[in-house]
Amino acid sequence: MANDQQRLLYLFELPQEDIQVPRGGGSVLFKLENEETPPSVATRVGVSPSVSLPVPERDDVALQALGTATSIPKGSAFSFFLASHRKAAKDLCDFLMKTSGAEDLMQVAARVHGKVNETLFVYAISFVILRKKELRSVRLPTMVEVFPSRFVPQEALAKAQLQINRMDPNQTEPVIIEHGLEFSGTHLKPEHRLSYWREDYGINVHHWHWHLIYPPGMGFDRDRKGELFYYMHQQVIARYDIERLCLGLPRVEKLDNWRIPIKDGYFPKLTISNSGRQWGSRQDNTLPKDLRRRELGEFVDITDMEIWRSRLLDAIHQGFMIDCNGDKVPLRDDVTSGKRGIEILSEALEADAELSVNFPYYGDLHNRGHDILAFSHDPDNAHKEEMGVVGDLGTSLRDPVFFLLHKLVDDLFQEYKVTQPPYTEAELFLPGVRIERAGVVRGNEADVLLTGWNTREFEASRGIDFNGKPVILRLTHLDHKPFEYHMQINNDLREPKEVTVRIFLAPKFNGQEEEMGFMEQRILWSEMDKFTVNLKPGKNHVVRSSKESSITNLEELTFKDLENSGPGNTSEQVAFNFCGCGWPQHMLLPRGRPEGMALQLFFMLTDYAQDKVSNPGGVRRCANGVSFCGMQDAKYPDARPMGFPFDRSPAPLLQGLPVNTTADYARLGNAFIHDITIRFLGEKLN
Amino acid sequence: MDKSQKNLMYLFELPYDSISLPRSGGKIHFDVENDVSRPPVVATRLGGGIPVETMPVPDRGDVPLQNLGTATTVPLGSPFSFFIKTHRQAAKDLCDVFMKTKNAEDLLQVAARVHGHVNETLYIYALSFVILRKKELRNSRLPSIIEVFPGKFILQEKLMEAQLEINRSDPNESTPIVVEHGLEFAGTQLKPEHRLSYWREDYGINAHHWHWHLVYPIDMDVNRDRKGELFYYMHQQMIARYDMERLCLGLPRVQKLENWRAPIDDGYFSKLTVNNSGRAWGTRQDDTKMQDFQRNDFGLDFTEVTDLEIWRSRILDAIHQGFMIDSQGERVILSDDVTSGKRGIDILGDVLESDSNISVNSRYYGDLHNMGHVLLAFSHDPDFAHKEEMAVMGDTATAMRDPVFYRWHKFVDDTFQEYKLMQKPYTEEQLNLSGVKIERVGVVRNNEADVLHTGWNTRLFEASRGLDFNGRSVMVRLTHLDHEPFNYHLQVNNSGKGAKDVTVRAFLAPKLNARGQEMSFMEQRILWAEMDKFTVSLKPGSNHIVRSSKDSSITNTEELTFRDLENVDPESPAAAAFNFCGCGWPQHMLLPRGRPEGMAFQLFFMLTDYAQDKVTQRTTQGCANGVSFCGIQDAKYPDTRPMGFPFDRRPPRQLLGRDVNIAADYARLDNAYIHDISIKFLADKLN
Repeated sequence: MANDQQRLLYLFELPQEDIQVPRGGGSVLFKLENEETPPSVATRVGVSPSVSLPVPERDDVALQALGTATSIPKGSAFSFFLASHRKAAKDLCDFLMKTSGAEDLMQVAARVHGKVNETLFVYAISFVILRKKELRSVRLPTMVEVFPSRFVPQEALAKAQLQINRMDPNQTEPVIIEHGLEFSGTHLKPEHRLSYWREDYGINVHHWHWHLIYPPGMGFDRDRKGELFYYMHQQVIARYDIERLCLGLPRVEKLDNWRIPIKDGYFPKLTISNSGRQWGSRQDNTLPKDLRRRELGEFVDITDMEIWRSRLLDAIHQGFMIDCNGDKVPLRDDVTSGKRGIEILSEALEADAELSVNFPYYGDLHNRGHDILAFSHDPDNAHKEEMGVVGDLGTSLRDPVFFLLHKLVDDLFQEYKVTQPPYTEAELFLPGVRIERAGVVRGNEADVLLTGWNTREFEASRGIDFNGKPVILRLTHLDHKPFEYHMQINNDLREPKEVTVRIFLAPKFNGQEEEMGFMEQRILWSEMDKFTVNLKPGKNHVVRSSKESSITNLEELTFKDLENSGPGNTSEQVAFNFCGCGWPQHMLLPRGRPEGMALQLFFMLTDYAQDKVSNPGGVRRCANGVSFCGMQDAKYPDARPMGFPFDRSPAPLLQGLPVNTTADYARLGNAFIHDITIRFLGEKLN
Repeated sequence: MDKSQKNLMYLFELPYDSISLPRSGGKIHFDVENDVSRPPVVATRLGGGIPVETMPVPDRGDVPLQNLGTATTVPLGSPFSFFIKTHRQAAKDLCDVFMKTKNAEDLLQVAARVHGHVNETLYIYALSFVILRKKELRNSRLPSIIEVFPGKFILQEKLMEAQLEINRSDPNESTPIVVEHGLEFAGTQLKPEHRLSYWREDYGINAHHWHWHLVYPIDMDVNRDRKGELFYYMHQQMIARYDMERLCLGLPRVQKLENWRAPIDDGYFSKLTVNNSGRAWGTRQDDTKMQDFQRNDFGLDFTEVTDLEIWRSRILDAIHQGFMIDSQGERVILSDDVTSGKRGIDILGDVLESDSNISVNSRYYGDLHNMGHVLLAFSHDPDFAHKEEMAVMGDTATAMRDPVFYRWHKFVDDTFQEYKLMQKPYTEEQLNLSGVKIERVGVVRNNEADVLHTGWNTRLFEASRGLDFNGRSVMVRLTHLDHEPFNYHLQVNNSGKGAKDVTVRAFLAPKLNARGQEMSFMEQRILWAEMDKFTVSLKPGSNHIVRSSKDSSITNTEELTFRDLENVDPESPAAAAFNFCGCGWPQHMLLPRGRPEGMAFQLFFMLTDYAQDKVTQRTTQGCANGVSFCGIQDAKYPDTRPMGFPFDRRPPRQLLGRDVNIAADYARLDNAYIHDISIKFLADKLN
């Protein structure tokens, strides 16, 4: 495994440099047969590299075999929201999927390196590694190190380069780039107060990774892919809204009217390539424009967007879509077989051209929305400007407009969700078990959680060549002190009962500081954890660590982590069971407020016998981020609609009493609602 | 010129790098005593076997690093804008420090100490300013701004190409890297305006604009003869030339930016960088509105579009009423026909530009032209919400790249023309010169008459003088418009009995307007671009005058590179004769592009009486180049007539008893002549 890992790991290093430039700090060298080595190699490698990866000449790697993969210029942006770029990705992935084994893939990929767009290359090898069964144990290095310029402003990187140019060439101390709490904007505009959140490396990496696992148009239909598109993005919006409420900002508004200027612009100050090419920027008050990008083959009118939305709403309110043959496809979530309506709707909305019931009719609303917004500064390429960050999976969450667009997307899904019959008491209630008490404990303090700043180091010189010198990035990010959930549960049954514990968090008050009605709070509930416990008869004390969350990924794996993972020791291998997908652990909690902010935790127990999904045994499980990312090669492990029980309107009555607030759900013995406080310390956490 | 004068040029090298870093390809080294910021790379770079000339810079108690006034308020690595009042103050404070030095050696030491403590563009500005103004530095020449600040002229991606190539090449390699910067500009040809990129993004016209504002600064206690009038005339001529170029390309003449409340059609993305760490200049999307300036990062008062509108309205009041109101409330008459004191156009030029020290009422008439630049330079981020830098409109070395520069200056010019049209037409007596007659004129290029050729040419600059590429030499080969040199030929008859000194005035304009029709006098009037102006002594009888296009009164021969300057032997007498001030329209841009199939232009010649035109002044060491655009150093502007004569005013109703409708009607005068020529654009075939 170490060999496979190492062989493939170094393909991610220096994506913009010749494949024969030494990698791994000079210790690893790809040696391509019949290829000249670049002149700097000889001089840089004072000590000969300890690992040499020979790549024989391969007749089967011909440019012609790469299809449209070579159509995206090197050094420019690659966007998964563009149909032509998705096609290029598919062609390259198809080609790489034909390889057998790590060695074969390494050779073929090393030969392809330098012939295709750099982001596309990294996308495709990631895609293939995640999907090939024989590469099960190979882990992907963090995007932060592969493409540092997507995360750190150009000027910070350039300063490191200048420092290196001017320092003693024999110095080997790494240069450190501090990227603290300076973000791309000031605090003049209210939206900019959220920069620390939107520009967080972790959530952007998560978004990249999620779309790598659930791509549209790649001939790829994972279990409940469409529904998860809805749910994961809905949860991101919920968390964004919670963060906004922490800062005293109103909840995000959907991008409803495409004919008026968008108030907030965005200037990322990032570069696409190592040649300093800038991402596009968008001024305040920019009007979205019809897209006329000949070089990308993209032509979309605002009118198209309006018509697609109108047709999707027709389907939602009529309860069926129309497929390509003109036949009705009913949309409902209470199905006993086949796809849920949310799933069908989502595939048509995202859209996946192959899975949409009628792609020509329902169009490509979400993807094209990204495209139009990414190019609103130069819709016709008159100025030869690159796309804005909202066009790239690894950067789009930085731009406030991402959330306006996704609020629109979510709003359509919610239009559908509120047409579904409310959950019945039978569906919500689990007789025989009762939550007596629930809360959180941090240190020895109950129900007060702490957030603050923390830092994380990455090696920028893995992705960008700084004349072979090590450069470390030190990124400041939001973090919190770890905590535990404690639950006192009574099992009145005579035998053990397996239950699913569902934990959600939402602010207690709205922007007007009033307690919220059920419907107002409904789509603010963000999933914190979901897990199975076996309740013995009688009293149970369930303790669960915040680090085990069903939505999070522990932390990004660096190149160094992967290099140190060592040769295959089976138990270690299993322990190292990590798929890289999931919401970043450090962003699990909202910021809260310096004086403390009131939030509510909602707990619900459901019957695992009903929730359970039977998966063939022996599949590889990824312990992390399951709720957002599913499990590799397996079905989504919860039979209920995602977001249960908050995905639908409440029943008017529960146990004979009206339901006005979420607390009314907690009247059920298997549910519990509990107030907690989140305090933002505003300083470095220890 | 002594050696210290020559060595001053090394202060212009590597403005972003430590002064201790070797210059001139490692040959020159400032040894700054007690310099704590000395980078370690110096030792290793100097290790190479190259002979090093060391310039010791002693620690000087009198260099007041803590006392540079506001000069340190402009942050390093960010743009410096002469259109911004606080930046002008910073420049003045720094220039004052430099002006106090006694000689070249003294300046060299003081400036070397200040290096790295002030904004880089400000530093170069102040150093240039002082060298141009100190009498004892008369023989020092300024290196081309293109080599000093390659980032202002060459797209970031091109410069990075060189850096990447160096990073990837053998460190022992020493051959220079050559970066080709051909006909790729910041935009595509999709928008009609982008067809002019080769013109707007030409290195020469941008260097000219930088230099001109260095020679004619505002708020610097510089009150050169006819400064305000020259502000009007030089910019008017640039607009005329821009319009000519537009007509060559089949585009309509530029529209003034008049409604500041409506979006501006054309945006601009310069793709240039502000400093050596890749910080981008601000950009402007298509259809962006001018915004109230509300940034707090320049110490400037917030300025609203309404302020600009009010200033414009007051200036127009003055123009149409014929007087301005000074700060005491007294009237200041505006008239160009004055026998003493300033011409109205001069007063108006200082008010409109404006120079707050010279404006008759700065508080009332405001700062219209400068603040227009500022509002346009910040329309993408007017309140600094996005921490964006100013756009190229804010820097005199880059402003002409942006289409909005011309729309703004067309507005400025339109205001001046409003004034000019208030002036009485020239009388027949003012226009005529009896006793001399132009019999024939024409241009000859390579034995062919009246057909001129334009096309592409290239010029090499050393980018590594301004930017450090790990000590390696990097050349940039820039493609630019050029033409084959030609001569004017004039057959002039002097019917007088004695010799007669005359001023020859030559102008060029397109013959037809955008609709393909011949133009009336008024339509063509402000298209006439000055081509030359010179004095000849006509002997009685017939005279054949030949004048080379290279001698033009508006042009500067070519930018001087560091290498050119290094090759001047300071001890040689030639150095003193090396009479060049670096100001002037670029010689390679003297002609408009024309058209591949040839385009009809008209040359207009007029002879005037040198006895009347002459300005009496002590003969000083003049600058032979670019006089009409730049004046003469330390001397008065050498032509008494209003600038632009005879086209600066509307024509008299009649001339020689007949109506004046077209420019050819002026040519009825014996001392004038109009002649059709053709300009052919050969593209790559220019030899």
